[in-house]
Amino acid sequence: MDNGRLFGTKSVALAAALATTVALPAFGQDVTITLWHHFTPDIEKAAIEAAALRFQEANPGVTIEITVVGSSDMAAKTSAAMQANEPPDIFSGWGGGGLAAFADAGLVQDITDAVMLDGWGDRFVAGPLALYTLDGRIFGVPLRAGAWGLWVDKELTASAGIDDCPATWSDFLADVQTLKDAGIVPMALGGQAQFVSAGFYQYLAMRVASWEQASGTARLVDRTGSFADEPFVRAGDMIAELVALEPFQPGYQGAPYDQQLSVAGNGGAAMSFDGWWGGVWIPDASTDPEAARARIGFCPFPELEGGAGVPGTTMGSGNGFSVGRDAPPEAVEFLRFLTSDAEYNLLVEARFAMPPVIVGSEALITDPNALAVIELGATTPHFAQEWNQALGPMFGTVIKEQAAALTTGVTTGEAAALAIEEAALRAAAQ
Amino acid sequence: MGETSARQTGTPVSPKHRTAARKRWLSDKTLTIFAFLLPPIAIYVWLVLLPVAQSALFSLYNWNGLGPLDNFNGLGNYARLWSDLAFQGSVFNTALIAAAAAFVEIPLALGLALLLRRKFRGRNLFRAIYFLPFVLSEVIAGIVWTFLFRLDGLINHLIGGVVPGYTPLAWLGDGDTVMIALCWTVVWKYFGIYMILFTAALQNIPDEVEDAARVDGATAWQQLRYVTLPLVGTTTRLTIFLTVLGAIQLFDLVWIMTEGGPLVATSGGPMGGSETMGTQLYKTAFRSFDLGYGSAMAIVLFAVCIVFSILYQPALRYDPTRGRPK
Repeated sequence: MDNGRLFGTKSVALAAALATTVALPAFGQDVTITLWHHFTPDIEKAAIEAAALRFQEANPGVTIEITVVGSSDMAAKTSAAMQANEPPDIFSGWGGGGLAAFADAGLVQDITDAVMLDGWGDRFVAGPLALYTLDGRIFGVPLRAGAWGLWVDKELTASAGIDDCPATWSDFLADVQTLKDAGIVPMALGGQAQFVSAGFYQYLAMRVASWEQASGTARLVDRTGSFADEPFVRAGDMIAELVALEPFQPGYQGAPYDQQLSVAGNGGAAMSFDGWWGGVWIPDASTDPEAARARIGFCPFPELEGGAGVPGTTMGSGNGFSVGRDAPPEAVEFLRFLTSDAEYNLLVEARFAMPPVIVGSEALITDPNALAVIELGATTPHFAQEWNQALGPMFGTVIKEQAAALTTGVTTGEAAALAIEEAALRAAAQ
Repeated sequence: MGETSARQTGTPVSPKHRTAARKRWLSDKTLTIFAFLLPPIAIYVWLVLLPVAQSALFSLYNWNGLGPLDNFNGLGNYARLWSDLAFQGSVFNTALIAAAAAFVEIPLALGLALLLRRKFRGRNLFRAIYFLPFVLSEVIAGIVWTFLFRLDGLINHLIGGVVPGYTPLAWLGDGDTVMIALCWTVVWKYFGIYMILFTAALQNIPDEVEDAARVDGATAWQQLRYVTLPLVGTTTRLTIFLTVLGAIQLFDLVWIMTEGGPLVATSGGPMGGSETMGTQLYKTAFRSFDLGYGSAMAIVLFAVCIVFSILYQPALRYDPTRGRPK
């Protein structure tokens, strides 16, 4: 009796102790691939999901588990997983410096050999693939890429008597004033979505400075110059000049990115500076997507009279998939499958792959806005990736914050340029 | 156990025998205690102490969270914190939320508990209504209030309906109003739980004590001031402790509602108008990949909580019936 009780209490405690330290190994032959992406509009989610289902059908035993994360949380979610040394099998991203941080730590698969096999790599347009190529090695494949610009509500601009895209910065400022005089909010902006402000700032710097002078990589990595140099200060002052006209919707300072999209999509503002995805995302945020799609037009970013930048120079970004260190070979196969002719054409038709990155697939596109973005990309003399992605997260955060401080009018061009330079020095020291 | 059974059977036991039996009994008991304690200790060490120690280690490096820890920086991150005006701003905002919690939330919770102490129809309904916000998740509460505080939201409509000539405010988008809106939401979200704690404390006050005061001619105010409030003192001190600690660690509500924004101008450059230590830490560690610096912030946050807890101990231990701290 006594023994029995003692045995009972001890065994319970020991079992509990063991249970905390021993985990049973899992067995199974089926392969599960985790896939994280930030393609939140319904049509984009559906396009990826349909492709995954077709891949599963063609490859019995393979399951793709998809997790969709908002774009502003995607980098944080991926970085947390990477810092925990548990990279997802496939994850979406923007390439450039953020990806380089993962690749340097060996958390992303070098898929160069796979991409070189059977001419897979030759199928891609060179520029977008370069976003995923670091020191000659390939760490992912692009799905879509393009330049940023102004998305314009043609009905609203026409009602204020504006019929053309603003060709120059002074045209643009004049349009803003004309729209204001007509009682129309000139621009939509999500102040909380600092990447938009960062893109605007970079575009202006690339208009003021020459191509070489505006190279963020040269400035940050090679330290060929300072971010506090005159062109960068001037770019900030130009934003201040715009902010003085009060061009944005009321309350934009605390508005999240979704609000920028919905204000632009629902006729709340005449223009919205945004990426190539605006043609899909802005209508998607509207209460009447069909009508919004017809109303929205694309304008290249205005040129600057007397600026040193080569006219037509563009700034932009791309999305693609990379493969985590521990992913099974099927993960790379899925990317090959996704960028095959049959599948990629479906992505183009579903308006996911706009602008496309596979040579020749642009022939399928009829959407005038997508064609305008593609045309801009095809004719641009120089294309720079957005600094916020290209130059790594530590520096990117500061660029974004300072640019947002400029668009919300709480700093000056000079103070912002000095703060960015300080961050560049810190990043260089790391 | 051997000792007990020997005594029960009445068998004579030599002192030597007894000591041996006692030792065995002790070792059995000790083993059992350790076996029971091992799981919680293991979990505590693994999930609490180890991460704290790890953060302390990371805080001494310049590190992006990936790859090897090889860029030793000594106390450099702490020195940077010392002169980081944005971080100091976030400490100020955190203190503001803690103050709002202590000086608005607790009196409100106590006042409502006192009102709901009286017996009237629908009393339980009111208690349930007041408690409801606490049941909601922070994320849902944050989203709901983000909508309510919008320029075209209910709050502006309500104020506009009452105050003539009122211009709608972008509550969360304006550096002047964002902390008011945020503190209000924090108070709304958490006062319910403290009201319930005060209700329980009030129910524990014996009727005789208050009856005696009334017989002695104490006014309602005197009863409240000299009898009721001192008797719920223990609960008051506990709730202050919990609200302040909760406010220091506040993250999710702020993140959902403002992400620490909007940016405001300060002498040290632009900073988040509603940045708290929690949001600043998250941004630094996971958005900027500056895990070393973020860890230094985490250690400071941890130290603030520990120091506050230790300094507050005497207040928590204070026993009004004995009159002085034990």
